[in-house]
Amino acid sequence: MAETYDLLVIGAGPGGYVAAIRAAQLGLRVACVDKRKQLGGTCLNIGCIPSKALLDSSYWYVQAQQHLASHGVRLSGVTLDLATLLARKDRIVHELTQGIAFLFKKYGVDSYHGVARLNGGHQVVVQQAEGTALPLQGRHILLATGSVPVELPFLPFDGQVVVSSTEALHFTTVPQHLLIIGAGYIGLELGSVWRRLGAEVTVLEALPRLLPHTDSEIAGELLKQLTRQGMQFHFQTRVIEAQADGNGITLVASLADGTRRTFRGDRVLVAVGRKPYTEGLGLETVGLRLDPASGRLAVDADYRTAVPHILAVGDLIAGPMLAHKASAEGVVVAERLAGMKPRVNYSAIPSVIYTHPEVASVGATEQELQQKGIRYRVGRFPFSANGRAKALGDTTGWVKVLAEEDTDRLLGVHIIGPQASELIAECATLLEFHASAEDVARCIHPHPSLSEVLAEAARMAWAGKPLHS
Amino acid sequence: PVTPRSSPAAARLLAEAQLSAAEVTGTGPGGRITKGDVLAAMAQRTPAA
Repeated sequence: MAETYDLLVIGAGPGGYVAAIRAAQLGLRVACVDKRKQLGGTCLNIGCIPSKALLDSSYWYVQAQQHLASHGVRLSGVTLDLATLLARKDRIVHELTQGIAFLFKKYGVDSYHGVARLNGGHQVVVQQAEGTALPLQGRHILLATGSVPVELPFLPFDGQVVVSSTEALHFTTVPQHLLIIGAGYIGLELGSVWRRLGAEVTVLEALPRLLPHTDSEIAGELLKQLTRQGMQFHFQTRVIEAQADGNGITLVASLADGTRRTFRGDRVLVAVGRKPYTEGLGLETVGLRLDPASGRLAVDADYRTAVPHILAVGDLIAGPMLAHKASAEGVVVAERLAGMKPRVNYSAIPSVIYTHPEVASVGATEQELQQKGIRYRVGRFPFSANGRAKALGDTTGWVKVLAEEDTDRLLGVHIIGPQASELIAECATLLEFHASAEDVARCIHPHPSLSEVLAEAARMAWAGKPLHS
Repeated sequence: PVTPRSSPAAARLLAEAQLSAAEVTGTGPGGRITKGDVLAAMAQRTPAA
């Protein structure tokens, strides 16, 4: 007789593991299955966390080389110890994944290591590493199998020269010339890492601009800054062919005017997007399939698929492929199963790009407001007029606040600059509480702090002028 | 009944317009009065000239 759980979670990424913990906290009997030995999914193992570890280490390398002298800190020489840098990243990942294992134990979540396959009805079969097939039963089954990098048909991943983000997190030598296909956040972040560590980096993007969903002003400034850091960008450049040889790879791209251009590098990172991962999951055994139009799994407001006892969250379903989005859905699924009625506010999900300067946004962009015909006011304030930013020696960028014309209600905030990732958290809270721009200006921000830039931008949106400009 | 709390900007407008919180319907989370709610109440009380 197979073990029966109230909730059987497939996938221990930010969606799945959070759902499992929350459900267990609410008294449900919960199991979580993952094919990785280390819990945490893409985000912890090969995504958010390792990329941030590399971004921070490479940031300090550049600071030591280029910026410490201006603080009066003179170094006799700066050398890169890549092995230590990578080992530090691995240690951080390991500690965090162990942390999830600890939480599973603490809350009584049964953890299974193996590949889960739906087997009709309420049954899931876990193919364990040692070869045994373990049947489990779930009163509810939560699919949280996540996503994988999209491969280009003419440029299959080989893990050496043609790589996805996974391999680009642990090159054991700095590439001489890293080609990157795709100017999305993954390409920009990993490009930043290897550029800072000494690689020549060339980004090829089929669209006319980087980050098409980011406020265009902000994206334009990021392009300027990354170019200044030595990254090379080619837009409207669609890679159509590739030729690998012993020394590297040549990419052929088609340009906007129809001509072709070749690019030569020793490695190429394909970062054109991610797609839901359902391989081996056996969706067909329960009559489910990904929606052909969106490529995602359709769910209702309770995150139920067409099979009511099978639920799905995270990168598998509609919405931005972000860890905090998946986790928010995981919490809501668990709580709804326990009788609570929370909901995810999809209009207040912040997004962050951890380049330097960082970019962070929440709410509507100007373009979206224009499309909807909403009248709005804009307030901007630069970090260059902020005392804390000056002390940090990090004054690039600004905060842009969008407020509704008639009600002064905050509709969106877009930030490029130091610690944008931290500043955006306040903005998400402000949107959740229907704050007006005046409210933001009246909330007392500590001085000196970067958060004052937000208050000043909001003051400008509300009163027409900030205090310090 | 519990008086809904208001935001800082709403509080300013309520005081300036000499409105009490009870005269305004809060549409924010938990019935909180937003600035927009006070502006709407003010517009309703003062018909356009």
